Amino acid sequence: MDKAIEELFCELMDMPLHQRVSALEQMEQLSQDDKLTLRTMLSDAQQAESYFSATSAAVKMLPNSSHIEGAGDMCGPYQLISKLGEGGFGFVWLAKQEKPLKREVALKVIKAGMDTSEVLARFDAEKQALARMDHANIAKVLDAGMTEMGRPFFVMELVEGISITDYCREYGLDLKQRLELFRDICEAVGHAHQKGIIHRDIKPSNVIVRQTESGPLVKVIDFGIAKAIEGDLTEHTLFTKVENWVGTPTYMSPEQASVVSRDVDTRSDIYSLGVLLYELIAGLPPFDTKALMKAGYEEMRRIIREVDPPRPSTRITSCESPTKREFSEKNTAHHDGIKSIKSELDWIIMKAMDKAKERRYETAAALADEVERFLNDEPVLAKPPSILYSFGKIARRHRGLLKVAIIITVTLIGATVYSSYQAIRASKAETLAEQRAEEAVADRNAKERALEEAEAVARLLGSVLQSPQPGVDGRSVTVMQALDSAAIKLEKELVTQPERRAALRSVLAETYERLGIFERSFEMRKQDFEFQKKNFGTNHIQTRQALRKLVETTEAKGDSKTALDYANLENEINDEHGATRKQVEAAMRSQIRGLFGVGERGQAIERHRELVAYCAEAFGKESQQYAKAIWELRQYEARSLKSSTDNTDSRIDKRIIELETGFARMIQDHGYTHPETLEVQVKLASSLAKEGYTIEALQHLKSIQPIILEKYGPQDDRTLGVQSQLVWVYVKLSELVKAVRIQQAIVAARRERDGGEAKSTINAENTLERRLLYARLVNEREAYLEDLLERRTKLFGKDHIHTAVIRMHLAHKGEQLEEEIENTIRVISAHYGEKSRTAADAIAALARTFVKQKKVKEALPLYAQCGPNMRDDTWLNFELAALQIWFRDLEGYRNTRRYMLAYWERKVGVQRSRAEMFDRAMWLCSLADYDDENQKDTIEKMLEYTAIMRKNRHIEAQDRHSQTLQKQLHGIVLFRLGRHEEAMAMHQEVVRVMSSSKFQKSRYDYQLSLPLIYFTMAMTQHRMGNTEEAHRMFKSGESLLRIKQKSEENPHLPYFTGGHGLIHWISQRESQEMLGR
Amino acid sequence: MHTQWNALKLSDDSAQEFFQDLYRELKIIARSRMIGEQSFITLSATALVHEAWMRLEKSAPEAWRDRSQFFAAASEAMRRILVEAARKRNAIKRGSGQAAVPLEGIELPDDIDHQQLLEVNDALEGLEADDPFKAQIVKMRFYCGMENEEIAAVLEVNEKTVRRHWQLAKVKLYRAIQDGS
Repeated sequence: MDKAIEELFCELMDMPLHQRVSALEQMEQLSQDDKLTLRTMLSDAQQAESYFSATSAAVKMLPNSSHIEGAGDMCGPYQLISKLGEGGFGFVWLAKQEKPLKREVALKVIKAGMDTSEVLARFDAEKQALARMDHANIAKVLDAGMTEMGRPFFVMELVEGISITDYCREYGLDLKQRLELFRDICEAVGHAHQKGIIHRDIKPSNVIVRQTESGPLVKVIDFGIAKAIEGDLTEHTLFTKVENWVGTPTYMSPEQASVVSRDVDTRSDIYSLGVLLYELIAGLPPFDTKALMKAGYEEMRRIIREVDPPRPSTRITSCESPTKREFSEKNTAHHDGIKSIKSELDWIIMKAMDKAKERRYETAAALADEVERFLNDEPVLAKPPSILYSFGKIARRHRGLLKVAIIITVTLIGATVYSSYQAIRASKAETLAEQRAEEAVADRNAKERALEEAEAVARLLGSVLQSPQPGVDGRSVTVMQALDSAAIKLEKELVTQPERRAALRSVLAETYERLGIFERSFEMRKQDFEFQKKNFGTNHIQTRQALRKLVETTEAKGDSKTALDYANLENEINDEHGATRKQVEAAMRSQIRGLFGVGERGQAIERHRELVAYCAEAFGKESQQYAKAIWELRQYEARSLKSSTDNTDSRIDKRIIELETGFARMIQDHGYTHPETLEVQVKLASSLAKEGYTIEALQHLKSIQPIILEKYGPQDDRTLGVQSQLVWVYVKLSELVKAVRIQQAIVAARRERDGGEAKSTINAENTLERRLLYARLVNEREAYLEDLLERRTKLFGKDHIHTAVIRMHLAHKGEQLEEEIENTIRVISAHYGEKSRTAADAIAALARTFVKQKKVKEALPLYAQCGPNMRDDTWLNFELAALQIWFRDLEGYRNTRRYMLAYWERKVGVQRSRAEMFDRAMWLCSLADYDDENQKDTIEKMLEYTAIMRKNRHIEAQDRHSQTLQKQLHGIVLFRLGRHEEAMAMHQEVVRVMSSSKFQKSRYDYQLSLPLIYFTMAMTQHRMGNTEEAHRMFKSGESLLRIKQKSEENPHLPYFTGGHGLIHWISQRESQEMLGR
Repeated sequence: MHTQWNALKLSDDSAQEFFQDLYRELKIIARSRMIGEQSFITLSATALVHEAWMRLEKSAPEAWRDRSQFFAAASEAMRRILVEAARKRNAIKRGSGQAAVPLEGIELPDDIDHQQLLEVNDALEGLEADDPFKAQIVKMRFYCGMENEEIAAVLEVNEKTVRRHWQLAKVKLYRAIQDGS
């Protein structure tokens, strides 16, 4: 076909159909051949047209109702019995399993359209973490697999019941009951979060409630499934959630709805919990589901991201809500209660549902606590946003004032929480309960009033900030100027309103304080106190309130002497006129700090003992306050021992005060965001962090980071410096995941800026590995390491130290070859030294590989070599201890126990030390009799401490297995302590629980635990002189111990126990020898 | 005039890698769209490719960062996906007689003539050797569902050119198909 013909053809085709043939015939210049060609072409074109018109532009992707599973079908080992329900994702089936155990399960088959292998791979990756979850309110996900049709399915614990919303409707739950259920849900979700699992799809249909004898039992289902289906955040797929399987977007957090950012974390669950609470309270979800679906993607995303839902309380009044009745009832019962109750719940929900996740509750536990507070009629932490909004507006107009607006807002909110003008009736209240009730009422009234006050003050302050300032452009007004002019205006213009002036003065004082300008704050506080005293007398609540603030400010200013004077005064007033528990506690604490500050350590500790006694009496021995006071006392005692020899403390404090003053001056001279101000603030933060003022340091760093990031960009040294500090501080505060996220930003910036080979990048990468490890992000860490190994092998070669280190981390999986690890150890020891922590890690990896290969005895020297150099790896040292005992190296064991006990002692009282860790400590220490009274004493204290910890953290909601294991340990510790009677009682209880029919006997911990208990009982009886009984117990133990060790030289270790699993046979051997059998 | 299509030869590694990403991405979007709620289900291949563009634009290799190169690549990927799905369905039809079985999640709707998808694909190979520009237009129109105006904008030619090439291409393909069968 030549070009001319094609050209002609196209011209013809442009004509209307019926003219084409006649037009062709009129083309005189064409040969007959060409005409024929064109004629055929035209006719072909017509047919081609119809051939293509059927499909072409309309290739649509439509869902297809293809074959689905039916009753009787097998899914792996599970047989489908009947359909339980259907959702956007697919079907839920009742299924039964015959082997290896007979049980009924719920089986969820996911609709077609998933890449099954990817889903299952992701599920596998999370399986371990899921297995660690153990909570009465969480339904376990047991298994996953692929149906014959190639669809993924998930197997779950069968949960009977109905969705929470249905349940509430059906059983007509009142507000209190609903909130109690909700609190349980929060605790369950919080548990999962602690184990590193985010739900991602919390909604009513995933929260199932069943009526039991003891009331409703709630279970959260589907943990881990959303993630398996959606994929990991870190994965490359850009699969957004809106379009995927989840039927309703109503519960989705803004960050989940966003296309760009897929930054989903535990706070996304908090958001969904907020929506759930909204629906439980208001009777309907914040956004209308149908309207959302209709709106289409973009609009839906926009709504979720930008639109603020109406407050739940407005929905209650505007429609028929199931909780409306309660509200009106409360209204009549409580004269002005309705407003506060409604608004308090509003605030809680709105805070949980905040668009910005930073402003939501930090943890599910915090949300649970908040609900708890509401239920107990205690003041909640959430606050209405109104003040924030009004300041936001001002701030937009005066960008330069943004910072001050924020500070003032924070101040106001903080002040409102604090300023509880509590009625002081403690001395009159007869009983504790009465006193509590009174405190609660007083709190509530005070809060209402304080809020009004604060609103008024905010308006006043707002007008000051908004008023035109001659000669000064709004943009360049410095914070200090604004505040100072506010202060002047206040003294001049409010002469006739002393009350208002006082209120405003305290807000300004608070603001100065937050800016670190304690001098001015102190002056205002002092004025305030004098004013109140003159007006109302010493015993008036407002005077006492002012005094409290004055004490705090003076302390913050660092003037211990004056602070102590005021604290003494406060204590006197409290003694004379009575005070609430919290007031007494606060005043005592200030006094103690003051005494320390002026060097009166003896007196301070004496006074702290009194505080301990007071807390025990006023709050009870199970209270947080008591536990805190006890441990502080220990720390004070320890510190006083240390600092009796050197006197560095006051010097350090001086340095910090210098920096604080410098910082204040900088703000005054240059404003908040001036580079020099920032520099001083960074220095201040790092000094604070170094000296253990971690929270204070964090506050500074958190305020610096966004400014510095915006000013200098992510790759600037200053930004990176601040971020490193933040990481460090977060680690100190056990905010481990936060630390990881920031470290990731650092690594990315380093790689980009310095390149992968730079020392700085390597360091940042190595730090990230640590952070991931401590944050227990197991899968993320492994993926990261694998990527890192590839990078470094490429950059440095296989045997370079940087590569070897990564290989070592990966070696812990126990899959690498012996020679490979030995090579790694060589490289590392040569580089870091044999005693280094890094070398220890590598050696530990080899030791564990040996254990896996059943060369247990060969592993022991390796364990002993690395153990002391890696005390923070408590599991490893536990294994070491067990192996030492087994191979009869008692000296070695004692040594291990000595250094580990010292290590653990230091962990006592550290924030968020886990009870489990101390359990491990006690296990390790109780493998043989204790060395001396000192050791006994420490362990006894540890036992008490873990009990208090568990009480305080509501860990009793654990399952029977964990509880029993704890009791078992308890019994053993009592035995070693020589408290034989108590030990026997504890042993017997454990045996009773374990023998009961409800106990799952198939579990390995049962199979080994019960004999262990019998052996311990035998030893206890023996020491009590009951020889016969002892032998009987031993025999029972022997008969129950199913797995026997054939050789002492090469013990058999069941795959699930690891080195420390030897404890069971150790107890057998010890009792055998003790009884002389 | 049409030398730009040479860039599509997927010769260097990064282009090859990116093409794989693109291919995967389209599949994921397609799959995700096939499930979920009613209001989301109808989505043309064009919309699909547009979405892929929104998502992958930033990670595309330099040479592909302009829309024309990208859409060319995307329509190629789309063609492969559809053809692959049609082949699988065909295979199953011959094997078991079942209508549609999910294969890696991509299912062709019933009203699509999968046979035609395959026929056109076979014929397209010949055309591609002969006249790559036309083949490109066919991929964009037929497999990707793009309109002439859109193709013109993407390829930076005028609409008339696209229309004419498409007309000719159809005839050529139709003839090749007739000859083949």
